[in-house]
Amino acid sequence: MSRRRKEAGGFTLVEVLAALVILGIVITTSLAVFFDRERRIREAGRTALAWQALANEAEIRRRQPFGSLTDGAVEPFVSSSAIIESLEATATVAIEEESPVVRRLSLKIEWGESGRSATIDVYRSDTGGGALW
Amino acid sequence: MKSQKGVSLLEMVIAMAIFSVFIVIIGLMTSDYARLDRSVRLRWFTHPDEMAVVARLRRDVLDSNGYPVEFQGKAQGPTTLLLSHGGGETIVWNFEPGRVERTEWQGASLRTRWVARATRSYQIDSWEMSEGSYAVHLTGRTGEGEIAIDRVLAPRPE
Repeated sequence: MSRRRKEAGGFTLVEVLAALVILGIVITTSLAVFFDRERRIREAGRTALAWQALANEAEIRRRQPFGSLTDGAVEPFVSSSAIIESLEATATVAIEEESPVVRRLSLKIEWGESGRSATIDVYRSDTGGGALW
Repeated sequence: MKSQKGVSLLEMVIAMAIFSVFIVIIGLMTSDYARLDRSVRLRWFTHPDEMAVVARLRRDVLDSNGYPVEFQGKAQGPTTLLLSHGGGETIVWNFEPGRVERTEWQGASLRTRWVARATRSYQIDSWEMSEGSYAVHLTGRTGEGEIAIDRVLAPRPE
C-alpha cells in the first residue's frame, strides 16, 4: 500500500491544504496593500486640496481691512467653495486680539469621517491703512 | 501507464484555468493603479510643470499692477490672462488643454517664451477682494472632472 502511494506521486490532502493556506495569505496581503495604497493616495489628494483652501483664504484675509477683523468672531471661509464642497469640509476663521494693534486669524479646515484637519495662523497688524501686512 | 508520473490533460487545463484567473486579477489591479495614478490630485506635487505654472503665475500676479483688457490681439478671457507689470512690460498667459504658454513682452517686442506641457486643463476667472481689487482665480481639474487645483492669487497691495 505504502509503495503504491509513493509510485502514484500525488499530493496528500494536508499538502494541498497547506498550499491553499499560503496562497490565501499571499492574496489577502496583496489585496490589503492595494486597498490601503488607494486609500492613502485619495487622502493625500484631499490634504493637498485642504492646504490650497487655507492658502487661498490666507491670501484674501491678508488684504481684509484691519478694522473689520472683530475680536472673538468666528467666520466661515469666503474663498474655496469648490474645494470645501468637494471635501464636504467645515472651514472657519477665528479672530483673536493679541494686542490692540495685532489680530491673530486661525484658519482651520476639517474634512473626512475621521476628522482630519489642517490649520494655519495669520497675524495681522494695524498699519493705519498702509500697505504693510 | 500510471508509473509514467506525467500530468493529464485535465490537470493541465485546470492549472491553466487557475493561473489565468490570477493573471486577470493582476491585470485588473494594474489597470486600476494606472487609472488612479492619472486621476490623483497629488500629481500637482509630482509633475514639475504643474508646480511651475502655479508658482510663476503667483509671482506674476503678485508683481502686477493691472489687467489690460487686450494686448497684441489677445483679450482677457477664461483661457487668457494679461498682466501689466509697469514700465511697458506685459505678461501673457495662455491656457490650453495640456499646454500652458507664458510670454513676456516689452512694449511690442517679445522678450521670453516659456511653455509647460502635459498640464491639466486650467481655467481662470476674476475674484473680487473685500477692498474692491481683483485677484486671479485659477482652477484645474482631473480627467474625471474633479477639482485638483483651486488657487486665488492676489496682486501685492499698493
